[in-house]
Amino acid sequence: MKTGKLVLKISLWVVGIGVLGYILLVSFLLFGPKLNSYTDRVSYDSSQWKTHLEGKDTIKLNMVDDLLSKHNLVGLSTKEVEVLLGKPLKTEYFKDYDYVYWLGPERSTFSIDSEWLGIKFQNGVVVKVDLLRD
Amino acid sequence: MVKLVSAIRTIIGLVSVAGFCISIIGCASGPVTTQINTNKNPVVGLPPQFQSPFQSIEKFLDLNNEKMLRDKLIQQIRTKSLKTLLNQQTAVDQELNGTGKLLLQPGYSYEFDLESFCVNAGIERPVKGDGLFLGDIEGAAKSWLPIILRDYKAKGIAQSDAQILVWSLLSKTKFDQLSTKNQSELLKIFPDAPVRFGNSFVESHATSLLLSQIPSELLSAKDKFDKYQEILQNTRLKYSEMEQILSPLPARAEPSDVGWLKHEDGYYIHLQAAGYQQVHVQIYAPERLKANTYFEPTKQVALPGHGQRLALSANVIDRYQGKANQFIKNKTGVTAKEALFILKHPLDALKIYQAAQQALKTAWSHLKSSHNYEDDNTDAFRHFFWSGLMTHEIGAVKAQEYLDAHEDFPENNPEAKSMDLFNNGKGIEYSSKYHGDNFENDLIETGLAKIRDRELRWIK
Repeated sequence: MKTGKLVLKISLWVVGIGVLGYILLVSFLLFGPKLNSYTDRVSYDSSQWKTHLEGKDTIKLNMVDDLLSKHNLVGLSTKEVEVLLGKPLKTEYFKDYDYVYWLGPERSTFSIDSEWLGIKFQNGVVVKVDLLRD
Repeated sequence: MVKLVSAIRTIIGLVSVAGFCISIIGCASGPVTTQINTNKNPVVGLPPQFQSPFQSIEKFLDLNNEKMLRDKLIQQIRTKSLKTLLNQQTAVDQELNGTGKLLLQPGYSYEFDLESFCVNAGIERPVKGDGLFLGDIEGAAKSWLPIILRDYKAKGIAQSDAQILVWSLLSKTKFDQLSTKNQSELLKIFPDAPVRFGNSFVESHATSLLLSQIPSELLSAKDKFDKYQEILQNTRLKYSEMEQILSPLPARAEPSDVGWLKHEDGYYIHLQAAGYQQVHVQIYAPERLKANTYFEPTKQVALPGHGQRLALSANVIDRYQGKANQFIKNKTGVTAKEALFILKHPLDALKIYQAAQQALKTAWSHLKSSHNYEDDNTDAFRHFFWSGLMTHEIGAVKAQEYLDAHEDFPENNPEAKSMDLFNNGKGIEYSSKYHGDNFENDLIETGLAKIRDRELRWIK
């Protein structure tokens, strides 16, 4: 009788640990990198942004959420955008957009591709701003 | 005896010739020949009474953030209006999906996205936003294309598989020349497919007899079809590789709109392509429209000012499903299908995660890219290495399932997607055939060699 209870207890523990492990693993894979990106966020700084138009570091990725929350880019002129963000490097990608800034490796568990900021102008005025992934 | 043999030969020859003629004139495979005819469906201005259902729905959805919603009455009106609009949209989608046509009610505006098909292989696909003219399906395809367009979804055939069938039949591929999978798909729609689409053996006999009689321009068309048949019968090619050849990406970026058309049946229609697999449709049915006027997409072809002809199916793309998928991608960083994969195979997903980390580090240390993280050769190497490593860890089938899921989100750039899928395929292929005992090192060396020899794809 006692052995039966013990087996039941151990089984429940094993199942419980298994379920907990599954939840933790799935949560890490689904939300871990995204949570990380919140902790890595820094305030937008125009001069920092512009000095990192080239280069491998991901400073622009850490700034971009703050930039978009503080500045409504839609309606700005090309010149105003260049003052804020500088002129981006040329890329063949995202032909729907006029200015495309590489931000860094995408904020995802499987961060094999990149994230970009795409800006579309019409008659010299920003009409569309999007965070893009390739 | 000699006479008897010669008589039999003559009969076989005549039967072959008859077979060949039937295959050309009859209901067999063949191209779409519809041309733009603006006399039938002239270009007109935007009908002022048209009210975009999509815009109306989105306006009510956007109201969510505004202060007005604090007012209970406004909130009730919003909910009720949204419900009515969404129900109406669902009814339209269901009617098109279920019956293949839409009964137009005078005074109503309609809007939906339909799955479409390239029916002019080898020509550049339209740019997103390209306007389209409309015409009835003409040519040999008239006898079979509308049936495929109407029935493929109901028979459980994926859009890409149906597209391969369409390309094959347009290039006059005979039933026995199709792969077993494509034969089985075609039989689902046409139980008489072996008779309807003929036999290459009969045709080859007749062709050799008739070739000398065929004019040279028809012979060059035949060469083109032969080339396409070769591509479609190449079982080693993936769909993404086939579409690169048969529906190449356009060089231009700016769309060219056509505007609204007044259809010969009396309604107003505006069509815009989104690549070759999706067409955005807006319709306004005027008050004086004749009773029982239907919009029947599968009997018509959309014709762009530039680029290939598109055949319209009656399958409505769920716009809000796409938005939900993009929302998941934006919030979690993974696609809806990737999330499902993680839930189903968390341990394999962990290995994929580790492989991704390793691919990033390896790419950094082995390739000094002048463009850093852009979609250049570093990206090509990363995808090759990542897919190769994960195939080694979790097997080719699961790796393929996961890698396809990784690229499956609505806003993925088609050019980048096609490049990533190609390089992933190379990684899986290498890993599946590997028999050595120093896998990672060999994978790196092979990846670098493939970059050098331009066997991987990138744009720069």
